Amino acid sequence: MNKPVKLAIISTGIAINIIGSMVSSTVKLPIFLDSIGTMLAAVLLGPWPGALTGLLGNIIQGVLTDPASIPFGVVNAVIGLVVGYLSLKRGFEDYVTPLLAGLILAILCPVVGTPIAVYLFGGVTGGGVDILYAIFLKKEMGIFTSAFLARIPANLVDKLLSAYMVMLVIRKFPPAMKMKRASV
Amino acid sequence: MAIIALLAVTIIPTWKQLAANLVALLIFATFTGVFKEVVKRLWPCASLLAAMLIIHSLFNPANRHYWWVFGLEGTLYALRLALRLLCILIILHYLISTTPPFEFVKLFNKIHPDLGMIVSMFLAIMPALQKQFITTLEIQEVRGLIKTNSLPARLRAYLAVLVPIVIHSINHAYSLAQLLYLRGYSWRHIGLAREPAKRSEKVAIGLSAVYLLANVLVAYRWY
Repeated sequence: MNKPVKLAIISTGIAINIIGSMVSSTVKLPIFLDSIGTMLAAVLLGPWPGALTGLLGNIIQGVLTDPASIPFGVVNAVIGLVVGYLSLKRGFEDYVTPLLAGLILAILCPVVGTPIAVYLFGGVTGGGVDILYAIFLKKEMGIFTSAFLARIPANLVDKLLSAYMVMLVIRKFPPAMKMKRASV
Repeated sequence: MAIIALLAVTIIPTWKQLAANLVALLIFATFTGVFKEVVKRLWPCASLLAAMLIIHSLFNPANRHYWWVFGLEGTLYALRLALRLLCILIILHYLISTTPPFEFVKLFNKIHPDLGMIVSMFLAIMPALQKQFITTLEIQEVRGLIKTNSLPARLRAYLAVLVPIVIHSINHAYSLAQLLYLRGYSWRHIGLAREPAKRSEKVAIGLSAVYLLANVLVAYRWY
C-alpha cells in the first residue's frame, strides 16, 4: 500500500501548495506561504518524496500557468529535503523543529534561489522585497549580495510560519490518521 | 523544441540580438495564431519588467554615466535581462498555449509512469480542492471570520480556512491510495509503449536546431 499512498500524498501536496498561496492572497497576507504542501509531504513521506513534491509542484504550475516558477522548483525541492530530514530525526510535533526548519530555510532558500533570481530577473521580485533590494543596491553592495540579503527577512517569516502551520496541521490530525502516517 | 529554443535564448550576449529574437518570436506567434493568447499571458509580468528597469537604472552599482537620474549601464543591464526574460516567457507561453494538458501528462508518463500518475491525480484533485476552498471560506465567513487589516486576525483567518482543507485533502489522498491499491496499481501495467516521433515533430526539432545554430553564429560573429 506504500506506493499508492506516496503518489496520492505527493499529488495532494502539490495541490496544497497552490491552494495555500490562493488562501494567502485571499486573506491578503504579505507573504507567499506556497510551500506548505511540500513541507507536509516531506513530514509524512520523508525527504526525497518531499523534494519531488516541491520540484514537480513548480514544474506543473509552470507548465499550466506561470512558467517563471519552473526554475524555482529547485528551491522548493531543497525545502522538502531539509524538512524531511529534520522530521526523520526529530519528528515535527514539538515547537523546536519548525523553528530549526524555519531558520535553516531562511538562509538556504536565498542561497539556492538568489542565483536564479539574479540571472532571470536581475534580483527583482516585483513585490515588497524590492524596496529592501533597492536600499542595499544604493549602498553599493553588489547585485548578488543585495538580492541575497533582501530575501532573508521575507524567507524567515514565510518559512517559519509555514513550518509552524504544518506542525499545527500534524497535531490536528485525528488519531486514526496519525496511525496511518506512522505506517507509511 | 522549446528546450532548444530556450537554450538559444540563454546564450545570446547582447540586447540587440535579444531584441531581434523577440521580434522574430512575436512574428512566429502571429503566424501560428497564438499572438493574442501569448500577449494576454505576458501582461501580468509588466510590473516586474518595469520594476527591473526602474531599480537598475536608478540604483545599479555599475552606473557611471547618467542621463538625468538614470544610469546608462544599469539601464542596459536591465534591458538585456528584460528582453531575455520576455523571449523565455514567450517560448514557454507558446508551448502552454499550443499543448493541451493531457499531452503534458503523456510526456510525464514517458519519463516515468509514476510521474504521469502523480500529474493525472493532481489534475483530478485540484478542481475538488478549489471547490472545497470556496465552501470552507464561505462557512468560515458565516461563522464570523472577519477579513480585517490586522495581521494576526488575517493569520487566524488563513489558519481557519487552510487547516480544514488540508485535513480533508490528506484524508481524500488516503482514500485515493486505497482505491489505487485495490485496483492493483503498478506502473509496469500502465507503461505506454514509446511512440515513434511524428513528421511534424521532426520538422519542429529541425527548425529549432536551425534557430539555435543561427543564434550561435550571430553571437560568435558579434565578438
